[in-house]
Amino acid sequence: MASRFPWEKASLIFGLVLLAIGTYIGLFVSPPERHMGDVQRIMYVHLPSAWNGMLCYTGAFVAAIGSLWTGRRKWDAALVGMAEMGIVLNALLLVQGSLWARPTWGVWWDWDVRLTTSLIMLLLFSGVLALRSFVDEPERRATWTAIAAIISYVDVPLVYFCVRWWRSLHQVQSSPETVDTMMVVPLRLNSFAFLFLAIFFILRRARIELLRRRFQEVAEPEKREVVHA
Amino acid sequence: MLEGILGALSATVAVAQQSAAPEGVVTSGWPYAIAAYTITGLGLAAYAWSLANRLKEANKEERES
Repeated sequence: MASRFPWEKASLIFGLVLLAIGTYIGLFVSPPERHMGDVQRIMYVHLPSAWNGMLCYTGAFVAAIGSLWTGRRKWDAALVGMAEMGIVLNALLLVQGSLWARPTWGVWWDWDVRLTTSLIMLLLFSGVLALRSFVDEPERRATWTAIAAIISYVDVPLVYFCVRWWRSLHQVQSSPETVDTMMVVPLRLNSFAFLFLAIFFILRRARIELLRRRFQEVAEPEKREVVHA
Repeated sequence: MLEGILGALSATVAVAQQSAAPEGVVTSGWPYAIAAYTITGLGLAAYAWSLANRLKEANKEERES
């Protein structure tokens, strides 16, 4: 059995504790926003999903370069873990955004530049994992995944900067100096909570990938021998 | 009939809230906020469950090999 990564359990516990405190403050202690009222409380899960999702994709990009450069399976496993976590957070981000958009913009969805690039980001990285599932040979699979992840990453800076570069319904990034302290606190707590939970999920997913790779290397030659015999 | 009464009451409350609030202020945000938190929690829980199953499967495969 692949050994447990250090800090795996600690990340989960930190993440859950911070999430419980951050969510409590976000829902019941922090004040409602002047114009958006209570719907603004979605921010305390929406922004952590966005920031950590993009962080995961950035990690996947770095792991892709590491995988191509060294050919080591740990980079490939990290890439898969981070891409998959990014996809989960990206999907949650779009649903939360839609729930925030309905009462404030009057629509569930708009082909706005921020929303569209975020959807493209989700589709691109889902494509990376879909492509991976079609390749059986481990080395070729790692190479193809890394190349596809590097190409897909082009969209991530676009998602971040598009609201500054182009006209968008979505607001530009706020500064903590212009936001009430009781809004900054749950936002930071939940951001770290999502980060620790993401670390736990990534380590676990990477462990699964390493186990599968080892199983493939050990079991499949045996299978081939049986077929030849 | 009860559903009709509740519907009428809810509509009356919504109209009262709208008229009490200044124009341009979102007054019915709680259900959306609760939905967002619930979906986020369920999404993360579903992913955790999926990983636990896959890890169990991978460990089982390794033991059998």
